[in-house]
Amino acid sequence: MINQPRNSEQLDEELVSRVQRGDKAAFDLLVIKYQHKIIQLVNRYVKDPSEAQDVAQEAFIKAYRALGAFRGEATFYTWLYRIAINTAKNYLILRTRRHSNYQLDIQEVEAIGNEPQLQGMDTPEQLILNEEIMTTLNKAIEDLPEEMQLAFKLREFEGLSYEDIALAMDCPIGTIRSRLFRAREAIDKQLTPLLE
Amino acid sequence: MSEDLNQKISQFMDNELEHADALQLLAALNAQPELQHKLHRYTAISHALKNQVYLKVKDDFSANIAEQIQQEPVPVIEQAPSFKQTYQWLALAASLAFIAFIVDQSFNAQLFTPAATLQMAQRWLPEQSNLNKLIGQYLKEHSLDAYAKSEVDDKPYGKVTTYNQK
Repeated sequence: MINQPRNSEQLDEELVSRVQRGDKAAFDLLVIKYQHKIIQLVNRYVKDPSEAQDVAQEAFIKAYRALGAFRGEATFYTWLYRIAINTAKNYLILRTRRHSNYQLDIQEVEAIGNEPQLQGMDTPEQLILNEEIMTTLNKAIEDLPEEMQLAFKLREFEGLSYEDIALAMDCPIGTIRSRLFRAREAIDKQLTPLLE
Repeated sequence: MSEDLNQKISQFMDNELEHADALQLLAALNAQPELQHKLHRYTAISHALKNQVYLKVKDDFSANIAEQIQQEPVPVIEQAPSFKQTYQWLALAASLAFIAFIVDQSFNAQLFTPAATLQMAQRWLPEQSNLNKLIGQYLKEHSLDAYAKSEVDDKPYGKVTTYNQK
């Protein structure tokens, strides 16, 4: 689940070291890098995208305060991941206490995090919008030129590196880099009207 | 927004961007919210393909955190115990072990002086001597060799066994 390539870890080490030396802007970069992952993670527990973002924010602030104790025994993301999960669990327990007499114990909280993802699809409108986005997304992929589509699928679904995709498709890495970027751009362009 | 930066965002997402370029890109992302939105959308597409849910991040998400961080003090680094500190603990442990050894030695020296040993021997020797005699007698009576060679007035083991089988 927590699989960070070496490049990414080195970057984190440098940013963490900068924060520990007093460079607060370096922490903003760590937030930008991990905000999406952390929100997704928290949303698995909280199941409300809006609340998940508030809890994720709290997790980042907690991480900042605890950064003095971070010695790099685990990777930064593993460490942040634990903080985010604990923050989400605490939030769930507090929310349950606030809204009812029913006490949510830690096993139940764990089970919530392992449930299949139907994150924050509370209202029929949200469900319909999500369905529409997914249909557009799949159509956008099908509409891509064949070679671009193959490179995109090898990256997104098979998790292949640029080098491996280049070998598989027998073309230079630069071409793969460009194909992947263009694929993302094309998909993003088709989704934009739905998201505005 | 330059196409070059967008391509770098795509590479960054895939962890295919060189260290220096990644740092440069992060600084650009921090300064240009539009670039951040691009990163959010690319990431959301990738997530939606794997989880069938499109998750939209609030535009001011990182800005809110940055604002709160500004109010916070710089995190104080907790020092791991240094070599010097570890060495001091080792020295203390060694000193305690040495003191314990010395105390033990002086206690034993008091307990086992030649005079004390002699006194103990005199107290136990007669009983010890009787016990030795008893043990010696028992061993002689129950010697396997004596049974085998029929030195004892009894049947050898072999015969006893045969008798029992019958």
